[in-house]
Amino acid sequence: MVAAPQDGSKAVAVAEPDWTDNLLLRKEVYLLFAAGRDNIDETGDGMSRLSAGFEIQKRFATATRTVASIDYQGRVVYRDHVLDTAADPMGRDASPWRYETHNAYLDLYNVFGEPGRFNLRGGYFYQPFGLNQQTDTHGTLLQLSNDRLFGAERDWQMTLYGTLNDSLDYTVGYLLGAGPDHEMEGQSGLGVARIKLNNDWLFNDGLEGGVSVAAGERVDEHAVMRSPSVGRATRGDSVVSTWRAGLDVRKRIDSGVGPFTLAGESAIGQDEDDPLLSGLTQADWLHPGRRWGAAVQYQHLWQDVAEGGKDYADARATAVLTYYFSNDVGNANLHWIALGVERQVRQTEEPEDTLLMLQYYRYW
Amino acid sequence: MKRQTRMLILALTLAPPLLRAAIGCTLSNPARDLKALFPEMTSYREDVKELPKLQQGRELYEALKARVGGDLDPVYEAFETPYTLYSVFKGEARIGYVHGVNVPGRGGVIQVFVSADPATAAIGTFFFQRLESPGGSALRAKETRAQFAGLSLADFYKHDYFAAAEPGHASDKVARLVPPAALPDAAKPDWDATLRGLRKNLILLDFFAFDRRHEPFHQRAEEARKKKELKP
Repeated sequence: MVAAPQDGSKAVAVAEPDWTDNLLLRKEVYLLFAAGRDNIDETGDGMSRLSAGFEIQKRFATATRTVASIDYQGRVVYRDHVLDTAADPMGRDASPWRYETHNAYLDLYNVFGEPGRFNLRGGYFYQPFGLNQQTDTHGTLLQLSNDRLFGAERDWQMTLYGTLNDSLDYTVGYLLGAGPDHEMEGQSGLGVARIKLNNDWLFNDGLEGGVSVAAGERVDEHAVMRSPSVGRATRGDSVVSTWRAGLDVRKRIDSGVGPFTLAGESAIGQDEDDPLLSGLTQADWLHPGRRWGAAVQYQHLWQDVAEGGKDYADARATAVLTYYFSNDVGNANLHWIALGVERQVRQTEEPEDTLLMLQYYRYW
Repeated sequence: MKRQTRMLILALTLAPPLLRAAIGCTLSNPARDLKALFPEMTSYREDVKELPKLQQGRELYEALKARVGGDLDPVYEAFETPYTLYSVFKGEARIGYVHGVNVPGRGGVIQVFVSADPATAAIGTFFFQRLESPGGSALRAKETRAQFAGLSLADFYKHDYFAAAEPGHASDKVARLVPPAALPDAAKPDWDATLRGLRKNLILLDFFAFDRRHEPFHQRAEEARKKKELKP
């Protein structure tokens, strides 16, 4: 019959990891070309956004315990003829050449208490508000709400996070409120807190969701420019007194033709004395073979400009079709080409336009 | 546009030469999940395993393909796919391994995780993390998953041996595994994908944690298969 199993003496011995263990390095190329139907008639030019970057991750461990990890991601970006599109919110004020730090943070795991209860993260990363922190949007055309709510989708911050109880996870922290250009203008920063369904809900029921709040001061030139009342209240600088409260949910529906996902984010808040309301609805489909994906998104932001100004509104609908050459489940190797259409439904500051976008993305 | 192309080439040239890397099939909340599997746990360690970084990586990938028994999916199971091996400790003693893999199912991703005894390599607990299947609830049922407790890679290789040499043998534990009765017809392929995922998981665990101790079983199964093929 078959051979007898060997004894357990060949099991790998417990030892300190080598410094090159758990060191992860990746490259990234991101090309985006876009043209506005009206804009190209007027200017005869289209938008280009070209970038090359890298990401480094390293986990630190003793012989018996993973204690910390670091992540750094940066890109050299070149932009030409920038258009106002939700696919590239960082492009609005960017110079043609720019080095962008995308992520730069340190995690300390299980700093005290029972495992999983108290972890620390400090650095530059997604604000723990809405679905952003549990969604990898760094290469996708469809972004979530935080860029419109905070003027940037990332911030310098320190957060404590972990397990709250059998159903919920928590995050509490302090955001610097430094905006997309990492500015310090004497702002006090923001306190932030989020409670969300833990991943048991995601894996058992396909459900994610949470509530988030943030309050304090942040730097946001655009918030000042779009509202005369905010501009007057800030007395010449770009520090905006802000609060936000948000609710989000995402539900995955499994089927024989691949998973469908429906997501929604809504938030209310104030910039100085201006109330605002934000919403986002998105539906995604992914083929079971992970080769094809399609998504539609509608997002809007409305701000009641106090002191007699015209209310601010920004509403857009976007559809994206993606073909994946590589689409690793853990986002380790990604390679795709995407075609998108963004219809600007309502714009206070500029005439509405329709953008056609072509994107090439590789991450490996 | 020529100027932009030149600038992109320049940017790519300036980017440092980097190694391949990524995040493996990971537990979403390792501290909580591992504590639930091993209540006596005092600490755990995560180790990322990447075949391209191993000296014999390509050979191991080919060996994986041969032992799984069919082609590996180029999207779900590429050579570059990383894996995360969790070691669970009580004090200084390793009391368990936990490892997960992704396999393609009828409706999308199936993430198959097992905990394994570091001495015997036998499965302690089998569980799904992500399971994009119309039969998800039936597959997740405790009684479905309980069938896998105590199995090891040796049992899968023995199954191959028995299939070639002694079909229907009473010692063939893998042949006794049955899909849940409540599994909808549309999700039947996901049962097969689950078995394939479990087998793949155990083969990789044998590579990463057990120094390929189950190879003799595979060799015997191969000998039996070849012998059968030679029979007129």
